[in-house]
Amino acid sequence: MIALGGTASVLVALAAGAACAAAILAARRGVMIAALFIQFVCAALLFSSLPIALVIAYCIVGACVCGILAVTSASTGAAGETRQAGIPSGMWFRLVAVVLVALASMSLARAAIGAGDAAVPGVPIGAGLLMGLGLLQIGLSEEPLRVGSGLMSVIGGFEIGYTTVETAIALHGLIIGIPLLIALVVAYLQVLPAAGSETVR
Amino acid sequence: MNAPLLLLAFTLGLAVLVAVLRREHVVAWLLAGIGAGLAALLVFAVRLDEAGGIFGIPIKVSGTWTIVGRSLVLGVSNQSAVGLVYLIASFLFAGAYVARPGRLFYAAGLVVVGLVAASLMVVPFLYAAVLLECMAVVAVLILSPPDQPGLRAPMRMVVLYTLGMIALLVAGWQADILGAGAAPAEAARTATALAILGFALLLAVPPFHVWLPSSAGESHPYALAFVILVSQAGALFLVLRFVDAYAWLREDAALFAGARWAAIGIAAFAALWGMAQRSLARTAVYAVLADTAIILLAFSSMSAGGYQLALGLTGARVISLSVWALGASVLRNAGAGDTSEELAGIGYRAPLATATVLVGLFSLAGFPLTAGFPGRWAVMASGGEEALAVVGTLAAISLAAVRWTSTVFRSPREFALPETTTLERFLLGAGILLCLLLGLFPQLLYPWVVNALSGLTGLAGG
Repeated sequence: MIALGGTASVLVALAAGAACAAAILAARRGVMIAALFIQFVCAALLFSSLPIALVIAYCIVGACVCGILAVTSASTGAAGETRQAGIPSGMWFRLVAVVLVALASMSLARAAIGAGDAAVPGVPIGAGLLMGLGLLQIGLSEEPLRVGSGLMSVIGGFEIGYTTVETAIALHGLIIGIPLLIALVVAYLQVLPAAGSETVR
Repeated sequence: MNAPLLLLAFTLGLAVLVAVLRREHVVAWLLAGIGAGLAALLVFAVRLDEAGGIFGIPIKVSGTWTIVGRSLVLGVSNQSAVGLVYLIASFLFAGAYVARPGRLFYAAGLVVVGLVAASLMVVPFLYAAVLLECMAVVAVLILSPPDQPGLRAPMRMVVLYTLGMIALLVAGWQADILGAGAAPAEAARTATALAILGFALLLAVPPFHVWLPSSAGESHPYALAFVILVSQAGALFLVLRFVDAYAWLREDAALFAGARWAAIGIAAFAALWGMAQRSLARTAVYAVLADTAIILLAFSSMSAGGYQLALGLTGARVISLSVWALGASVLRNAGAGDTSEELAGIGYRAPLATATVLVGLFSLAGFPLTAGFPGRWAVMASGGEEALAVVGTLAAISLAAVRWTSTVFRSPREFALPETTTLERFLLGAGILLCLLLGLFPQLLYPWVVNALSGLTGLAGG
């Protein structure tokens, strides 16, 4: 079990939020994947009531997820980027959206989770930021990599809050494993065009 | 020996074997179809926690598998439901020989069925939400086969199932605080709202149905039908287990009244959108949504008969949707397309496949003499707004089916389709006959399906 102090937990939560914001704002996939890894580590540090083994397992899952996504992006030759037409994608638009959603989700999460006695101050902030910004990322793109990254942020944020109310290790183990499945599916969807063209040939 | 471990190990082992042999279509088809059927048979037939023997060797099969402090339990409360899921899968795998929905269909399909079965066996049952989320992730492989690049719908499904899982886990935590007995409505409000949200997401109730029309435009019809039928069967059983477990939810009359009005709204939406579609697959998808509304109407009656009817309608949907999907797959594989322009006159070129599509669509609509009708008749019998909603959706979706009938028998276009094989003709004909037979003799289907409710004592007792 990791016991972060009040200020330290807030700093870790803000770092997680900053990494999530960077993933939304980044134009390059490499930056986005690196930001995702930072999110995993910060979220793991905020799992206040989980055994250390599960915290380490979550970091390992994060490393595997980012490894899978990085290798797939590199192998499909699409390390650069990729914003879809039809969805607002300007930098200023995304920046304003990130700030608004971050503020709203932080205050909502503090109202929802902050009332609990057991929650350290960083928990509601981290949970709110990751869930809110993750949902924003899902809404801003239809590209599997970005949607998958947003989903992992949402699950990470949820797990930060859920560890304060649910003690069942098996359940947390299952939830922690889901990002790995999502990463595999994202990788599968990313390599599909290549497989499709091969079939045509 | 314990049954859950055996069942899941068998399913996973079979999935691995089928994945290895995925290029040998006939072998994969036989293994998946027979394997799932065998699993269903064993689940129905196995005598749990009783001493028995095979060839003189004493064997006792336990119904409980404990793993990391949690249990997977196969017992009287869920034996029929688990068996039914395997039976649905076996039925759908059988038709896949003709439909050919992709190389990964059998292997991923078996994993999906295994996860849904695990979700029905897991204790506490709230873990089912996580297992259904895993199922949605694996279902991406079915909806987006390797030879079809760049589909958006499967990720939408995963997103919605993830949000559903989160809502249900929080609802479960709140429900545990409230306990299984009666609770004040005020205190139960948050848990109830979260449970409704979670179930709406899992059951693809509008406005959370967005992945369905997108998939209809992109994915193979048979793959889509498989994912809809198996995932929604899992979601419906989870709803029933949730309602069965908590008296404060089961006895909340306002909740059931709300469900009735929501169902009427969904029925109106699906009926209007179903009539407006120019894509055959999307028409079927809105027919499925209308069917979901009727299932919800049956469920909202707040009686054991209503819950049984909801399950019976789910069983009839398996027949209707799979028959439609079989015909639509044959047309799609022959390169016939999906829009009304592309399908104009197809009835002259591929009469049996076209007839299968139309019978399936009429059955989804609940037209008299088809498998979908008896359940609707029973819902209509209660009268009131329910009867109006049933008649409205039946008329609207039937009208859409009549429009498709007129389209497919319009003056034929000049193109040739490949000849159908004897086995294809047999399966297409069997599908049509099944739809009509179950329309005339619903007692062949309903008692089987309805039996799945018998283990849920809270609901079965009324």
